[in-house]
Amino acid sequence: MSRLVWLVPLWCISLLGGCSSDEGFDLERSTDAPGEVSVTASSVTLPQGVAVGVRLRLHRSEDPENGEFTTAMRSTNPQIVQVWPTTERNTFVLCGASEGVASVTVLVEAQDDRTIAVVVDPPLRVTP
Amino acid sequence: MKMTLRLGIACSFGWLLNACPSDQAPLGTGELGKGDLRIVCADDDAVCASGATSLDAAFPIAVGASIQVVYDGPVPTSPTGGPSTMTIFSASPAMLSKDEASFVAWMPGVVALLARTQEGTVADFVHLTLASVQRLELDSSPEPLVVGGKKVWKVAPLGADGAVLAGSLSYTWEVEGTTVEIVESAGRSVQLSGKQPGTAILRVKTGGVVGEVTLTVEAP
Repeated sequence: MSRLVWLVPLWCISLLGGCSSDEGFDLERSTDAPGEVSVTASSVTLPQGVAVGVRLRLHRSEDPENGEFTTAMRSTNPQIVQVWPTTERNTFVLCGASEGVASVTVLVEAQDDRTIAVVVDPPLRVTP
Repeated sequence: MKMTLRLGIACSFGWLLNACPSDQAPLGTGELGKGDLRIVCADDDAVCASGATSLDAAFPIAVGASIQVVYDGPVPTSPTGGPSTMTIFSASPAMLSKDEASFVAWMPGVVALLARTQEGTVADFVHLTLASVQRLELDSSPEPLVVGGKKVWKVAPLGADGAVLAGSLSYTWEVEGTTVEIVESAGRSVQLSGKQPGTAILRVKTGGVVGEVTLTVEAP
């Protein structure tokens, strides 16, 4: 089966499901973190050196928790923000490595081999 | 029951074995609630002076100090089926860098330490507070130093709030005056011998911070 890649714009994510195609995500914080840390549906701000756990929530009629999807998250600039998977499903750790702004790409792969790629730009801000 | 106990004991030392199966009960002190990262007590760590073998992440670390950290908790399975090899790394090497088996604190602030597998999966993480040394406190036993006798002084690094800071620091010791001389120094301890009655100043330095104490040598 051919692999389709759908790019979902930032506004679609920000609207928390208000997207007409209903193809969006939001981020939610899964751990406490020290300092001025902000995790919204479409952006993360964290101080240098701080790590925060974030969970991806998929806005779809299908339940992303039911095993039909696997998610991945990649930083476009690991010098600024590093992204690591965890042992928890759909949960990642973001680390502020150095001051600056970076983006992440969110990949969701479904069982039917369809991949949805979401470029979130620029949601990751690392403060001094 | 016996098997459970044996497994529990083995997993208490999972950081040594790196072999605990991932279905063990979470230890829960890491921020993901899966495992624990602890500071190993070095001989010259002032916070560990009470005899502790390890510290949790809540203790502030002195800037300039080195620490060793171990991960204790469930280890995810590697693609080959065995337990993964765990690596501990700093979220910001500019703040806390890795130097072989140790980490060195370079600037004050809060920094995350993460335990991850070779494949890059984070098992858990903690945040450490790094604090500048503001003051060096010298302490010794109440017995007087007499001519011909010896006495040990110890230094403790204190942060801005007066709390003792953890980690191993390098110290430079010196005495001003001819009434005492340094027999030996190691880590945060120095041994002095009394040469003649009178006073002397014992001075210790680390990273630009100086602590000193005036001491008296008594006649025997």
